[in-house]
Amino acid sequence: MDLRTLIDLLLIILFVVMLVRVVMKIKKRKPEQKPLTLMVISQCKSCNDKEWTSIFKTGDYLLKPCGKCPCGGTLRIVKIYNEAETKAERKWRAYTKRFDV
Amino acid sequence: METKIVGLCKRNIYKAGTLYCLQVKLMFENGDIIGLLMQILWVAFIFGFMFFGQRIQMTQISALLERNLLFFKGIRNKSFETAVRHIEKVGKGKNVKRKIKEFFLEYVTIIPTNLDPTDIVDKIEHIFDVREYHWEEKVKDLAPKANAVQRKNIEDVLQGVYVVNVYYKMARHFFLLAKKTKSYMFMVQAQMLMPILMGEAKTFQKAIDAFICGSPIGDGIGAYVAARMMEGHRAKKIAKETVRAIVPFKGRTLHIVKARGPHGTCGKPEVAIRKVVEKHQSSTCMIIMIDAGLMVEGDRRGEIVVGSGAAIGGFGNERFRIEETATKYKIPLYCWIIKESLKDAITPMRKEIIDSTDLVIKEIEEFILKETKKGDQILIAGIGNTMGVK
Repeated sequence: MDLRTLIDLLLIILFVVMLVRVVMKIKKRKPEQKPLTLMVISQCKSCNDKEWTSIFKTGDYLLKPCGKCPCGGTLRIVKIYNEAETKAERKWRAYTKRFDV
Repeated sequence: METKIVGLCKRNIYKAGTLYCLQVKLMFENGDIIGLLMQILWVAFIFGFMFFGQRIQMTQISALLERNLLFFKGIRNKSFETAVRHIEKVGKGKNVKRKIKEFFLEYVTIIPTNLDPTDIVDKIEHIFDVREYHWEEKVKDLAPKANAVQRKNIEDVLQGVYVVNVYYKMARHFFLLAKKTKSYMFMVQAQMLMPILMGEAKTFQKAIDAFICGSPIGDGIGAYVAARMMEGHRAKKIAKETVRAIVPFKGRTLHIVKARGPHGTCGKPEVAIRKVVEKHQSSTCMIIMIDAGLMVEGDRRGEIVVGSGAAIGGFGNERFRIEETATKYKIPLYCWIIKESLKDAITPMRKEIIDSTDLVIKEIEEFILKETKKGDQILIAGIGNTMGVK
């Protein structure tokens, strides 16, 4: 087998690989969604020095009274947030950081 | 001269053709079958792409779009099923699926014509009020056992499903139009639109989850800042689904306005602002509005920007009313904007956004102390969907 035939064969293999990749891309996929996990931060209005962290449950809302502080004050929810950042979001944030002014 | 050049070109093509045929003949005579096959294959390949290139590309795009559209359909169906499950669980209504399909998914709001723009804001407000009333009544029928908070959240869930459905139908329309006309340009147009529509639909799918559990969303940051500023003071109803609290602050009086929570509503801040200003017109010295604002790519999420003007989104009728009130009584209008993306605005609150609350409050207080004197009345309006905020 001479060099030209070898190159031809390699090109054919490359073509087949590309075709398979296109077909694989076209293959059906199902929508998926991760369950939502939110963080809840509670704080006492009187002493204001310590924060309590918990997981969000239905019925929670911002400024909802949620218990007693050791100092005697009332605890209320001050933050509810979603901290989860996807890998793509993290990468994009890191990339755009270089253009910060 | 031209004839000579053409003649030369033609001669060269003939020459190349003859040489090629000789090469093939030699290969055939020498028994180089693989080489011969390769030759034929490459010639077929080149001519195939020359004449059917665009068609091949179109078939490829079409297959890709078809798969994306089916994926999109999955998103749409999943959001719909999630909404149905939630409404059946909370509202205990009958024929929920059929009712949503028949009424909510295909609901149309026709914006008044602007051929004669006289009183167009009144007309827009009227249409929106009718729409709001219509939806409220239909949600009552859909979920008879749900309480007021749950009903409001169901309305938001249905809005989310409605938007996902509209986006799906748009994507489907462009794809089928391209298929029907067999136009490459239409296919490319559909290919360009698909990721944008699908991205938005995915965002709304996430928003539906937030609406179901009633967690605060990014858009509610303005309402939360107002809620923090009025904390510990009695809030009274001033307009539909809107409350006002009077807060004394270092010799000044703050009138803080926000939508009534913790259910999902934006209230009627324009009405509340008008009422407060009309009552204290001589002593009201400024209006401060706090809202979430759209950031551009590269901006930092949760960044605070200060400006002047009415910071309120929507169709524009609320902004018109607030500007009208401020202009009529010559009251300066300032705004504090917390930057976030559209996705952040309708999905559960992000840490960077809620972390900016204390800083906004501090900045506003410093501004008030610097710009006003004792005895002044200041109106502060926290704008946005107050879901998950008291």
